[in-house]
Parts: sequence; structure tokens; C-alpha cells
Amino acid sequence: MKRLKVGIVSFAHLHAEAYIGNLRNNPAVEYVGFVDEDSERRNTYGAAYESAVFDDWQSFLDSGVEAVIVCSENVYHKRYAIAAAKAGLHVLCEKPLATNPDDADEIISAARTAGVRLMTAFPMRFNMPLRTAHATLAQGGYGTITSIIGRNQGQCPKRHRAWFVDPDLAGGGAMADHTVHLADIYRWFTTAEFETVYAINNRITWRDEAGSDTGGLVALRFTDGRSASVDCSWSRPRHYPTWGGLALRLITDRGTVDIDAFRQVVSVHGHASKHLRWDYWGSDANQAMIDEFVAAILDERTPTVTGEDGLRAVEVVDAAYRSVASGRPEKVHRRSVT
Amino acid sequence: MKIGLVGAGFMGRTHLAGWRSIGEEVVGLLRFDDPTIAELAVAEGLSVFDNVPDMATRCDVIDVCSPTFTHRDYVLAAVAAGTPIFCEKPLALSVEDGVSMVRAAEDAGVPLGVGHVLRYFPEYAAAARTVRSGDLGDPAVLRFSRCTFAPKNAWYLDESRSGGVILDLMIHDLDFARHVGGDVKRVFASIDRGSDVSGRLAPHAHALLTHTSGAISHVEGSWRMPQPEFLTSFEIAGSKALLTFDSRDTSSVSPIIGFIQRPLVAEATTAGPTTSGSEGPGRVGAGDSDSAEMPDIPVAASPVSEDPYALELLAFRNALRTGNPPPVDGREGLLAIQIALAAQRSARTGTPVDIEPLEVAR
Repeated sequence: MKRLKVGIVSFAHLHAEAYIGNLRNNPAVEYVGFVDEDSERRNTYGAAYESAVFDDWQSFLDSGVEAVIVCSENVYHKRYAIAAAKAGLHVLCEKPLATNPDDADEIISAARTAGVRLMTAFPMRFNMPLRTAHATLAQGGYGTITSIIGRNQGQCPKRHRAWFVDPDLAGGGAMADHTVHLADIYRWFTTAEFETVYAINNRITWRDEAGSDTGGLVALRFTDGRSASVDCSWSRPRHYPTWGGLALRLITDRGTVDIDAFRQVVSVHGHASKHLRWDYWGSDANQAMIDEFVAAILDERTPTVTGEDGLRAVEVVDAAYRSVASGRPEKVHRRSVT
Repeated sequence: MKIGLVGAGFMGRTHLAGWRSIGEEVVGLLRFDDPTIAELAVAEGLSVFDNVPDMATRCDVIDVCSPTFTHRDYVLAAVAAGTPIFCEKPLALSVEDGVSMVRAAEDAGVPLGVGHVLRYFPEYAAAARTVRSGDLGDPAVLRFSRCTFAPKNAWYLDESRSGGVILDLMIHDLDFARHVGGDVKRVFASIDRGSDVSGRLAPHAHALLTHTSGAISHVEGSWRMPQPEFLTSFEIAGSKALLTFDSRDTSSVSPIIGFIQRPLVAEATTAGPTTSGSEGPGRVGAGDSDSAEMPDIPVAASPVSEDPYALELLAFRNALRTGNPPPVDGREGLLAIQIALAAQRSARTGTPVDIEPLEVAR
């Protein structure tokens, strides 16, 4: 069986550490290695994951790589995704697709021009509790959604990678980091688009660690008048039982549905450890996401999550930061994607 | 202390029990165009007063538990009579009314307490203690949620008389958000009353608050739940700690009571010839008459020995005895309705509403 040659572009994002295993688990994939300009990352992660490493783009291309996962700092997504598309590589890009709508648009155009598949890494689309709720909703089992309350809260990601808290590299703080997941889920669940965004934020939790906003609340209105809210805060303290979580409440004409994407845990109480730990046992959404990316390429079809989905979420973040600045609800500037 | 009670609905009866439990005497009720007043007076051996001045001559405190749209007139009448007042939340239906009530009470030197009972619920009191202790650090992102079914009384559902879900229900959490997060300077809110697809439904609201300190709050209030659900939750993230509470996690008595399958073999020994089969699987030993008597699935409970309503009355009474201002006074009741009314206006206009400093709210 011919296998698809897939590589990783940059190990800046910690998710690369998970994706490398996911790629190796997929029998249709031949993992070729990762390219990274940073020698420390090449040495550290190349050794830790026994991975081939490439220090320049041309030698990476010479490996015969056919598809990539872009895991760079957010601000460099555009540079790498466009370079990959121009080289004829299919692209799975870490979220947010870009740090502003213009860049996201350019990535989509480049992929279209090159005729390659472009997918945004929204693993929550593959989270089993969310998928199950979405399926029941689609069958009418919950009634129709009239509003949504959601929260995607976490610890400050600085300890994983320092660039997450540098707005120049990340494209923002907690509001950019966490709003995109729920914005995408809301579009997926409602099949509606956003009209306006009102957002407020602050920097109180983790203020000694982060140069960006760490707390944020976002109120959204869909074009059909329905409303929703997002808590995107890095409000989980150092000794929270896990990294954070994502949960939403669908308010429908038949009641409400609470969905917790990360409640499938075993609680661990230790003698040595001073704090409770939650060990996750739910299904690995990253695996299902990467399997879909690979399947879409092999089946020559559009992935179930697209570049446009990535752009729509970036447009919400853009409107959210404009609203923080103006103190008013701001219109979502929706670009046409042909 | 002798107490005069205005209103004999659910809250009036709750306060009656509360006053008695702290050893105070409720002497009478105010006459009201409502048969329940006379019924309650007879059942409990209470007088019925024709008007507030009459009540004031016989009472040390007038407790206003009547529907919200009547609060202003009763409070102003009690102030005029010089009698201390405990007023159920929400204080009033407009900031203007609230200001007039607070100003009248202050000018007359009459104590005015407001029944923001949430502060006396043990889970909220515990959270407030932790915030005050400094263990939380600076409040940063706060979330409060209160979701239940729509009340049955018609006046609750009439927004011009109850204020609707924000002024009647969410106000508990708006007050508490202000209590622990500090004064609020801007409010943005949205009320979901159903969609074009669903038609008009009981309201579900959410509000985003910006506190003067820089803290931000998300407050959810709903009458959209099917009966008998009553879910409450909060979390308070600070610079040093995170507090979380969910009523579903602290239910301490959780009955699962219903039909229990009986073994097939036991049925065979008592039922004589095994001719049946008509009942089908899962119904052996239980006729339809049994299933008709099956109770509803009972609601889980989190029992505590203290009644928050008694605690709020106790705190108010103790303040009166010592000559201190009421622990939750008219000024705080006014600030709560100011936030709630701003949220309502924001939901109506789709724009954030700034909270202007009030002259009486020092």
C-alpha cells in the first residue's frame, strides 16, 4: 500500500508532540520528520520523539513529503502554510488559522490556487461528547438551539511555550487562543454565521506570567438574531487538576443540554502530590482529526473542517479585539470565500 | 420585636416562618385584595391591618414581601410612619423609585434592609468569606448561573410588574457579583426569548459585567428549565485562587427511587399456572395499577440546618438592636436594581449600558 508522506512544520506549538504520535498511529501515513529553523527544538524534540529532523525547507521537500501539519508560532502560520501550498503540499494548520483575517484569507487563496487540501486544526470537531451531542441535535433530539453559553478555560500556557503569552507571536492573548474553538463549535452546531461581537477582557489571573490578556468574556450575535457567549479565560490556576476544559450549554426550545468535552477523567489523589489530578480517558480527538485530514487527501475530497472554518473563527477574534478597544459591539467583517 | 407582614404569598409565608424561628412575633398582615390574607390570618392567629399607618402603630418592623410593583408605595408609607423596613428583593422596578425610597429612608433616619438572601446561602457565604480573607487575591473573572423553571404566578411573567427574569431572578447573582467583585461600571446583556423557529419561550438571559476594579463577570439567569430543575453554579477566578461551585456536585441526598424488577422465578411460584406471557418482559409482578402510583423521580437535595431566610432576618434584627445599619441596606438594593435595569436596557438596545454613579449611593 502506498502511504501518504506527512511531515510537521515547526515544533513551536506543543500540539506537535501529540500529532507526531497520531501520524505514526495512522497506517496510511509515512511520517517523514519535522522541519524547524530552531536548532534547540530540532535537538530536543528530534531526540525525544526519535524523529528525523530537517533544518532547511528544501531538504524537507526533498524527503518527498506530500502533506504537512503547520505547528509554528501563530504569526508564522501564513508564511509556512503558503510556502507548503506553493510546493504542492496539503496543509493541516494549527488553530488559529492566522493572527488576522487578511492572513487567513491569503492562506485559503494560496491553497486554492495550488489545488491542495487545507484543513484547520479544530480537534473539538472530533471530540466524542461533542460529536454525539451534535448528532442528536441534528436528528432533532434536543429541539432547536435558541442560544449557547460556553467556556473554554485553561491555565496560562506560558509554561508549555513562552510565545503563547507574547501577543506579537500569538496574535493576542487568551481571547485569541480560546475564542476560536467555541466560535467554530457554535457555527458547527447552529449552521449560522456571526453578525456582531461584544467583548471585555483583563489581565489579572497569571498577570506576572503573561504580557497579554488572560481573562475574557465574549458575547456573540448570529445573523438570525440568536445569541451566545464565550468565556475564553486563562482562569485555571497552577494546581488545577488538569490543563483546563471546554464545556457548553445549549439552550433550546425543549430545555438545555450541558456538554463537557473533557469530563471523561479519573480523579487521582496522591500522597506525594499535593493536588488532585484528572487523568483523561476520553477518546483522542487529535487522532480522529488527523485521520480525517489523511482520508480527505487520499479520497480526494474536501476535509470536513476547512480553511474557511478557520477564517470565520479568526474573524470573530478580530471583531472581539476591536470591541475591547471600542467598548461597543463590533460587526464581524465576513469575507466572501469562493 | 413585633413584625407586620405585607404580603402572604410564598415569600410572606417563608418570612413568617423565619421571624418565628428567631423568636420574633409576627403580629399581623396587611389587608390586600387577596383571599389568602384572611386564610393565613385565621390559620396563624394574626391580625389584619387596614393600612400601613395602622400596622406601624403596632409593629417595630414592617416586612414588605408583596409583589415587586407594590414595594415602593408600602416602603414609602412605612418610612412616613417612621417604622424600620425589611423589603424583599428587588427593591423596586425603576432606579427613580429606588432612589426615592432610599432617599426617603435616609432623610427620615429609618433603617431599610433589602432581602438579598443569596448572601446568606451557605455556599455563597463561604465564597464571600474566602474572597474577603484574601486567599482569592484580586477577583478577575467571575461566573454566576441560576437556571430554573418559570414561576406560575401571573404577575411574575408580566415584566411590567415583576421586572422579568433579570430583575426578579438574575438580580440575586448581580447583587452577589457586585458584593464580591466590587462596583459595576458597564453592563452588556442578552435575553433569549426563543427564535423565529421555536416561537416565544420562557426567557434565558446572560449578562457581561465590567467592574470598576477591572474584574469581569458573566451572569446567567434562566426560566427556561423544565420543572423541577433548579441549577445554580458559580466560579470566582482570582489572582491567587479559583473557587468553583455547582449545585449538581454538592447534592448530598440523591434518591433513585422507582420501579424495581422482580425475579421471574419468584413470580412463577405464587402465580399458579404459568399461562401468562401477556405482560411481557420487564413488567412481571407489577400491574398497571402499580405503575400509576409510581412517584416522580425525587429531586436531589443538599440539606443544611440553617434557613438562609431566617439568617437574613436575624442579621437585620441584630443590626436594629445594636443600632447598626442593616447589613444589606437600601443603597445596596438600589445598586442591584440599577445593574439589573441596565442589563434589561442593554438586552433591549443591543448596546452596553454604563452605570452612572447615584447621588444617594455613596
